[in-house]
Amino acid sequence: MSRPPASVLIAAAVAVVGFAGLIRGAMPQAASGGIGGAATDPIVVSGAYVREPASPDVAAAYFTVYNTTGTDDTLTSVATGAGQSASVMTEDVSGGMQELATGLRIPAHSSVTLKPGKGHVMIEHLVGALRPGQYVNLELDFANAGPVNVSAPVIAINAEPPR
Amino acid sequence: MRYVMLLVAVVVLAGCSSGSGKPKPSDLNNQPHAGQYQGFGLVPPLPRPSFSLTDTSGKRFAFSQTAGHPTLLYFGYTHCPDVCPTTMADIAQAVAAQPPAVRTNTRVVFVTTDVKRDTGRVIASWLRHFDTDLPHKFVGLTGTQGQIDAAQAAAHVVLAEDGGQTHAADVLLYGADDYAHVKYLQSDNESDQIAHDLPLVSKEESS
Repeated sequence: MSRPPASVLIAAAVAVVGFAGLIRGAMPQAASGGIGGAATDPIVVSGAYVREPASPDVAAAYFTVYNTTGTDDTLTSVATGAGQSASVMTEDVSGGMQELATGLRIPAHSSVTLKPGKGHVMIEHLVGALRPGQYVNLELDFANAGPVNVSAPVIAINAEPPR
Repeated sequence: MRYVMLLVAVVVLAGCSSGSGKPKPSDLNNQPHAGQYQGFGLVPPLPRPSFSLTDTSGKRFAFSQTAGHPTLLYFGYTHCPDVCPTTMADIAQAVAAQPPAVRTNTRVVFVTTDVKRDTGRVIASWLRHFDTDLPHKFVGLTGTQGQIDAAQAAAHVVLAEDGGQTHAADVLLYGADDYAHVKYLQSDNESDQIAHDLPLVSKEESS
């Protein structure tokens, strides 16, 4: 007798699903527009790839890091199962490549893109050959956001990078 | 060094102007002296250098063997994760995009700046990742440190340091007239730039 009418239950269900949908919908928007919010990942990584290496020893990973928060963050280190070591290399003032002792700063509400000639994650002492179609798992560690996992596809040596 | 930094600045400017989508030829490079070329124009042009090194099969290779052919010359090292393989892939793509006559006529020469690690075998295995579909295999050269330094000096590029790991990123393009009128630096457009300019330097009358 005291059961609520079906319409009330449906309305409640719609409200819950709608709310969840809103939260999910906010994430890609934040990734593209850089709008931070409580329901947004603080760090969003996109366009990750590893070019099939010509060397049996060393490969490079590239990606764009978006900092969706209002506070600067720092990429302090990278770990990967593809090689024994991974280091973040960026262009120094003389045009060479250098590992930053202080990590790679990602300014608030901004993005940093690692691309050939500008920066990369150098993966050394490869465990095995990397071939197109495979994926390289990377754990990017940020000072504020903590670890962020990225799966980077291996692209052919002469392929266009993913957009 | 100042010259290199100026070039880097120009690359950044060119990158800004290219906008989105497939770059139009006029957007690839807006620096002076480029003339008809999409790469960085060399005024005055640089003569094809004379140097002799050792190829990947252990034989002596004189750079003059490439005389009369459009020739792309690049100094780098195989343990390089980033710029060197990207540059070689750009070169290979540009050559592959040529009409058959130009493709067959073009030569590509890679000179290592890391004489300790880059043996003939290591260089050959590295180059085969890039040139498999091309009519002429890329030439890979090594030598003593003195010979490599002399080759870089002859080609007017900045001498490599740190065991070859800090090296000039220039790709020099010598024409059928045995002069380099244009060179390239690593960028998103490098392959398109080289592909555009190769036919221009393939004929004797180019000057």
